[in-house]
Amino acid sequence: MSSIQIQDVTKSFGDFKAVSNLCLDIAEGEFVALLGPSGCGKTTTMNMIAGLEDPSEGSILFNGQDLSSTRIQDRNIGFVFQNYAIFTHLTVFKNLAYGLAVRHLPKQDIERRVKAMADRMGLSHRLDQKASSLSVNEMQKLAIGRSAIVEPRIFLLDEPLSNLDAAFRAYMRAELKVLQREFGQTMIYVTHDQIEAMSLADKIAIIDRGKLMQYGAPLEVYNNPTNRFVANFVGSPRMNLVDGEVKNTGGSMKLVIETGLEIPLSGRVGADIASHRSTQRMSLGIRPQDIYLGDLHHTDDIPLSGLVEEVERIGPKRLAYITAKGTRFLAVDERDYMTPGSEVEFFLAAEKCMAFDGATGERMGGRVQ
Amino acid sequence: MTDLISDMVPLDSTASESPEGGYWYRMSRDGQKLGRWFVAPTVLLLLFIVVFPLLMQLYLSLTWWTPLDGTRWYKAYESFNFADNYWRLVTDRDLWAALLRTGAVIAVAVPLQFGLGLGLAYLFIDDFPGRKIFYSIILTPMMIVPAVVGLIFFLLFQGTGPVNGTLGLPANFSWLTSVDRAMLSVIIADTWQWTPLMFLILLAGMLGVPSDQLLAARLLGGSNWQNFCRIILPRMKPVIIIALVLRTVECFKIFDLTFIMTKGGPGVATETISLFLYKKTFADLDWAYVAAVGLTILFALSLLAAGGLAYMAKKKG
Amino acid sequence: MNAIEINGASKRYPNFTLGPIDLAIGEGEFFGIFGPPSSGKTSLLKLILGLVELDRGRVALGGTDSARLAVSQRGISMVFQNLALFPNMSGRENIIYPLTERKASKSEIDARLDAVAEVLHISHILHKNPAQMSGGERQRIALGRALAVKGRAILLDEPVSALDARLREEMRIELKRLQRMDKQTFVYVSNDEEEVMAVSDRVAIMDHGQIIQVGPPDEIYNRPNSISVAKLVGSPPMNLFPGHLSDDGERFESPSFTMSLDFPRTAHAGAAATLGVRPEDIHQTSDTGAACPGIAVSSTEPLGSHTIVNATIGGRLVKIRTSGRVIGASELGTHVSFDQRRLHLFNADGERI
Repeated sequence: MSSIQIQDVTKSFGDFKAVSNLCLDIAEGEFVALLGPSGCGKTTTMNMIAGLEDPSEGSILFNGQDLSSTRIQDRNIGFVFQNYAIFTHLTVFKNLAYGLAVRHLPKQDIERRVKAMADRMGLSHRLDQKASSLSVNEMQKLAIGRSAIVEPRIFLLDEPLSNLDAAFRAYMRAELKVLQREFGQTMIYVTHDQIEAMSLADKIAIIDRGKLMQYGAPLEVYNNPTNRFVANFVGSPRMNLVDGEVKNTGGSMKLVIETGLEIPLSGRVGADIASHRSTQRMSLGIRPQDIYLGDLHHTDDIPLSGLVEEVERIGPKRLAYITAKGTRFLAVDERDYMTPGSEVEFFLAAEKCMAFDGATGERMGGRVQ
Repeated sequence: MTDLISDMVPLDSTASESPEGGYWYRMSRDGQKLGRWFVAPTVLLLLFIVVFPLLMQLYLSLTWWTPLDGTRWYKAYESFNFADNYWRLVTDRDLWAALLRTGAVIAVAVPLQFGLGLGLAYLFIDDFPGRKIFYSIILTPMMIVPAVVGLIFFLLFQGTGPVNGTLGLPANFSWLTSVDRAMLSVIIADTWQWTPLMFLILLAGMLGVPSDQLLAARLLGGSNWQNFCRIILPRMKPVIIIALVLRTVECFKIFDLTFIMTKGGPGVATETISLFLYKKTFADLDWAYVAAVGLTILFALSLLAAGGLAYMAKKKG
Repeated sequence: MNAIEINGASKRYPNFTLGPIDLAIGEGEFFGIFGPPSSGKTSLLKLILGLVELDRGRVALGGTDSARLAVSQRGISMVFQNLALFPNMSGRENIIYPLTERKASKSEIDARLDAVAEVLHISHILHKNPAQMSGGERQRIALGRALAVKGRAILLDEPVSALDARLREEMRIELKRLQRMDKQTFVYVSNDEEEVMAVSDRVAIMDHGQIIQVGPPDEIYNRPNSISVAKLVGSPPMNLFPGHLSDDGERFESPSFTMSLDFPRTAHAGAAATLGVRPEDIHQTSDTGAACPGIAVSSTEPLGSHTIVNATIGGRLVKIRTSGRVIGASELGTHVSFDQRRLHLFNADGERI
C-alpha cells in the first residue's frame, strides 16, 4: 500500500500540453477521484502513474520512491481498463489466476486465492466458463478481481463504470466503496461523472485542460468551490452561473446582465465582491436547490420573476427552466405547481450565492457556511 | 426494387468484446439473387479451369493410355484397367522414396520458416524507426519468381561461388552435387524465399491480439515471454493453422528450386515428388499413371487442409 | 390519429419472445421507452422501423397499416447508439444527406441546415469530418441528420449514452426543446431511467419483452402498478418489505417491523403483501409510535444536494434520501416515519393494491 506524490508534473505531446504543473498528494489508503470533462488530461495523468507514459517534466513518487526506472511488470500496480481488457480466450479462473501464475506461485495457493476472490466478487459459478461468455457487468467484476488478487500497491481505475447500465452502476458504486475499505488500497479513480466522484471518493481532484482546479473532500469541493469551473462542474443539476457587469449606483450594487436583467447584490455576496480587488465583470453562482418559489425565507434573499419554459422531472423533484428577462435559471423544487408557460416569482437564497471573478474565474470572498 | 437489407440484429450487452451495441444485417432474398448473378461468371471460369481437367484426369487414371498409343485421349476407355495404376503407386519404390524425401523437406523447412517468421513478426509488433523500410525489405524475397530464386541459389552454392568464398571453404566443397548437402541447399533457398510469407501471416495474427489485453497482462506482472506464450500464441491459433497448412501444402509441391538447382540430383538425392512426376510425365510419358498419382496426392492434401479448417471452425465456435 | 400504433404485435426470437405489444404513440409526443438491458427495447424499435416480420399483430403508421411499406418509405428517421455517421462526409454533408436524397431545393436545404445547426449549437463544426469531432459533437451531428427531414417520427436509441455526464444532462433538455419546436414525434429509448423520465411526455416500461406499464412519468413514479416497475424506476430504488396485512387490514406486519396504516386495505386483510416506500418518503421523527420504527444507521453518502443514508430497520437494509445538510449519523434521529400517503402495497403476485 503506497502513498503517491505527484510533483510538478507536466506532459506534452509536441506543442500540446496534456497536463501542466500538476501537484497532488495522495495518502496511503485514500480513495481519490480524478474528475474532469473528456480530454482534460485525467487519463494521461493516470497513465503516468501507471508508468505507461513518462512525464515530460516533474516526477511521481510512491512512498517517496521514484519508480520511473522500474519496468511496468515489476511495479505491481493494479489497473482496471475502461473496456475491462479481460483475457477473453481464457476461463474466468485463468483470468483471476493470471497475476499469480506469472509469479510462479504453488498451484494450491493459486486455487485457494482464486476461489476466495471469486466468492468475494460473486463469480464462483462462472469459474470454469470462458471469460468471453460473461455479461458486461460480470466482466467488470472480473476485471476488478483480477487486479485485486495480486494485492497491488495502488489501484487505478479508468472510468470503470461508464459502460454499465444505470442500475448496475449504482450497485457497483456501493460495491467498490466496500471493496476499497476491505482491501484498504490506495485507489485512484478517473471519471467524468461527478456523482460517482462525490459518492465514492475521500478526495476529489478536479482537472480542466491539464490543470488542477481544486483538490479536496467532496463536500468541501461542493460547498466551497475555489473557481467557476469547479462550481459549474460539481453538483447535479449544474449550478446557475450568470455573467454580467457590476454596477454601483448610489451605494447599491447590482449585477447587470447583457439581456437586460438586473440582479441586486447585497448582504454577504455584496461584501465578498467589495472586498475583492475592484472588478467589473463577474459571474454570480447559485445552485438550483438554493432557488425557491413561494414565500420569502430571509430578508436578504434576492427576488426575481420570470417565465417557466420547461419542467423536467428528476426523481422526486422537479427541475424548472425559468427565464427572467432573457436569462435562464434552473430551479429545483418539489412542488407541482411549476408548469411550462406560467409566470412565477422566485428567490435566490442570499446565503448560498457565490461570486466569481469575470476574468480569472476565481471565487471572491471567504468560505460559505 | 424492395430493400436489399432485411434483418438488423443488435449485439446486446452480453458476451461481446466491445460492450457497446451495434447493428449487423443480412442480405434479403432479393439481394442474394442479385449476388448470384454477379458471382456466376467467376464460378463458370473456375468450373472450366479446375473441374474439367480433374474429371479428365480421373478418367485417364483408370486406363493404360499413353500418348504413344496413337489414339485420342477420349478413346482411352479402350485400355481401361480399373485401378491398376493405383495399385502400382502403392508398390512403387521410387514414388515412395520421392514422397519420403519431400516429407523430409517439409519436416525441416516448415518449422524452420515458422520459427523464423514468428520471431521476426514479434519484432515488428511495435513501431520503431525504419519499420516501414525493413518491412519492405523483408518481403522482397517472396516477390521474386521462384525459378529466378532457384537460379540465384544455384549460382551462390557453386563450388567456386560466394557461399564457399565467404565461409572460407575450398572450391571442392560441393553443395549441390553432394548427396548430404544438396537437400540442405534447397531447404535454405526455400526458407529464404518463403519465410517472409510466414512473417506476413503471423504478423497479421499478432496485430489482431487486442493491445490492451497485452497491456493488462504486463501490468499484472507478466514478463514479455510469459505474455507471449499465454496471450499472444493462444489467440493466434487460427492464424497459425492457416500459415502451417498453407506452407505445408506449398512445400509439398516444391519444384522450381529442385529443378533448377539440382535437377533432382545428385542421382535422386533431391528428387521430390513433383520432380518425380515431372520425369514420369515428360521422360517416360506415363500419363495415366501420373494422373493416378496426382489425384491421390490431391486427395491427401485436401484432407489435410480440410482438417485444418475443421479445427479452426471448432475453435471459433 | 396516432403517429404510431402497435396492435397485438409479437415476434419470437431464439432466446426470448417480444410481445404481445399494444401501444399508441400520439403525434407530437415525446415518448420514452425504458427497461433493463435485453428487455426488448431495441427489438421494439425494429418493429416500428419495419426491420422484422411480425409473427402476429400489426403496426400502423399515421393510421395506415405498415405491412406493405418498405423501411425507406415509412418516413421514420433514426439516431443510432453508435451514430453511424458517414465518415467520408463533413458534418454539413451528413446532415443534409436526407434532404439531398429527397431532392430538396438549395434554399430549403440551407434554411433547414441553419435551423438545425442553431438549435444543436453545431454551426461552428459543420465543416469538420466526424473523425475530427469529439463524441458530443458527433452525437449532435447524428441528431441533426435525423432532424433534417420532418418525417413521421424520429427514433432515438440511446442517443446520449456515449457522452460525458455533464453533456448528457445538457443534451437532454436540448432534445426536449427541439422536439417541442418542431412538434415532432420522438421515440426515445434508453436504459438510464432518470434520463427517460426527465424528458418524456409518456413512458413505456419494458421488461422481458413486454410493456409492463405506460403512462406519464409522474404516474409511473407515484403509482407503479407492480413490483417490477417499482424496482426499475427511482434512484435509489424503492425500499421493499415483504410481509402481510393484519386480519383487519389496518396494519402491515413484517419480520422487521409492524406499522399501522392510515389508509387501511380492508379488502386484502390477512393476505401476504409487500410494502414499498421510496427513500425520499422516509422522514426522521422523534415519535416512537406504532407507525415509527427504529433505525440503526450504517453509513451516509453526502452528495452535496442530498444525502443517502444506509440504515437498517429491524435488521433489514433501507436507503433513505434526506437533505444535503445531513452529513453524519449523529445528525439523524433514532426513529423514522413513512409518508403514509406515499406508501405502496403489492399483493403476492406483485400487483399494486
